Amino acid sequence: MIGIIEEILSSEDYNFKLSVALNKKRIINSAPEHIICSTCHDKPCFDFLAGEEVCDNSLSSYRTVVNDINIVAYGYLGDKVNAKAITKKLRNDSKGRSLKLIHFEEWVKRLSLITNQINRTISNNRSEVLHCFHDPVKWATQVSINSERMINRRDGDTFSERFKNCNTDVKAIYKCSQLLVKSVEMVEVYFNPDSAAFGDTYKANIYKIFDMVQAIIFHAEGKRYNKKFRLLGRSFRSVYMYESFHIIALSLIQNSIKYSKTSEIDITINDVKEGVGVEVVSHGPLISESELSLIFNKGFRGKYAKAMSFDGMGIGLYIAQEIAKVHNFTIRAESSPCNYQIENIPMAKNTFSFTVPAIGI
Amino acid sequence: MKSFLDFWLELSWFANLLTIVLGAYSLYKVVMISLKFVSNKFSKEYVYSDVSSYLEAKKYSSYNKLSKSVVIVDDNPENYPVDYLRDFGFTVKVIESISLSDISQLYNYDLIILDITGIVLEDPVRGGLELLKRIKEVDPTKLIISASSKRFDPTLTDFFKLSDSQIKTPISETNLENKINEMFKKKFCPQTTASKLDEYILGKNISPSDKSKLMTITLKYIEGVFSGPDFLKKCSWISSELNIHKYKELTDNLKGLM
Repeated sequence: MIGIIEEILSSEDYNFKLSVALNKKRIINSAPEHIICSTCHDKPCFDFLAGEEVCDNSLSSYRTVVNDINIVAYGYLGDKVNAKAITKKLRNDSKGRSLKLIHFEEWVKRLSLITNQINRTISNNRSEVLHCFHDPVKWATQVSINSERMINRRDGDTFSERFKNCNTDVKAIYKCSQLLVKSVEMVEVYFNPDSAAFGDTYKANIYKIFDMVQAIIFHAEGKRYNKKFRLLGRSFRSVYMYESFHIIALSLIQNSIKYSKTSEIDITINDVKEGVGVEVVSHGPLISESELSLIFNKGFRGKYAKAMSFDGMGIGLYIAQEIAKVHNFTIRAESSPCNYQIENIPMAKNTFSFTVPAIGI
Repeated sequence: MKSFLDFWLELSWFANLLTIVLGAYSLYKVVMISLKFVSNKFSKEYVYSDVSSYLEAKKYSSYNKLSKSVVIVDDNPENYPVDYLRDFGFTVKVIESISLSDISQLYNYDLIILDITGIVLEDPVRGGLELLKRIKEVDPTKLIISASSKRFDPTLTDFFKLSDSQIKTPISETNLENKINEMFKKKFCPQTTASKLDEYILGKNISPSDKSKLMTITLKYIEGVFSGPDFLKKCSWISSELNIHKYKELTDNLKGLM
């Protein structure tokens, strides 16, 4: 969305131009900066909290938020500028740069109308394009239901007993159908992040969720790539969560399989004071500081990640973070260099960690 | 001993007074204790710590499945295990398409399972959403499950959010049975409503003796010993700690389910 807003504000057809910054980044092709602002390198006005603020150079900045994007219009003689502080030079330099709050609000309103309309159009287009996805989603669910029925026809008192009594083909079909359904759920969150909060809330043990997901992935993918998961720690606490929570486990484990260069992947789950702490640790390509801040963005892939794996789309971590948001926590990423290289790629200990609040959702 | 008797005789009037007062007080206490004993023996005293334990003792544990009805409004009824639900004891009706003018027939069901596309004659694309909005406008407490496998569609978010719960279709027998049971339990099971009532009192600053008194009044009201206005009057002593109108509303909900 930020790219679309940037394009609108830079467009020659957009005639109500102001010198603005989006998320602290100046829009070059919008209105020119005030001469004083062009020599001000710190730009403290980009950090203002809300409304109008006057800087040390007696210039006003107005700030607002549109579609989760911080917008600052800066370098103007605004409502709050003290008339006595306006020198003759400042007045001359500020010709045509008077901006009242009411005018800024009008500008924001116009921009919001355009962005809302664009959002609606994007959603409608997405809905039309995704219509053909409807049937495959149903088929995936149907395969999962039928594979469960096949298992339930076997002897045994519990599902796991009946599962043990199945032949390897049935087991494989069941596990693949489970992965298929979960992958569909990932795609659902990707196209509609709101869907992360759909479905029921239930109380579950995070250790058991990770154990279940790692078992499915191990049989479906882990064996093939010669990866082993070590589930460590002690956790007995159960937390209220949405159905989508298990996708976090799926995304992080799949991500570690895809990019780890060693065979072992450690998953540590411990009860901590604030809730349940989870860490997924693997050894893979170094993620630089600048990449760490972008790694949860939609479509982002690190430099070495691109070199190592061609089939990634940069959606797994984005989806995991979206689901974490609806559960009131964030996933952190760390990368500590190991000081050696494999195939000219510097290796690091990569840790993805988070703490699920004890209070749940 | 003699000196003690001499001392007592010297006190004469005071000793008599003491004997009369102590005697009268002892007699008063004996009468009061006897009265309390008789009153406890013959009046209805509740020993339950909360409403949930009262229900447990009275065996009010679940809702009556046979009296509950479900309507499935979906143009693909084969996605639901309808026969299984009927065998399980629910009254199930399937409607493949409906006009907005016939919406009133849906109000008769306890639970509506609603698809969004292909069911409303006037709007085949998103008619389910309009249907859902209209039903909730008339009866916000009506249980509605939105049923669709289109969670990925951002234009359908309202449809999922406005419903009480969501399912993906097709759905397995046990998943649908569990979902319906869970929905009915939330609304129709006295035990769930009793837990809400108990939770409401739990967070308040009420002493154990006051709680016991409140419990006796509540259970008597539930059993119809006195009327609603009388219940409010009898609870007025605790109105500083408890919103007694809200408390009565919760108690009435429970009473209605028993």
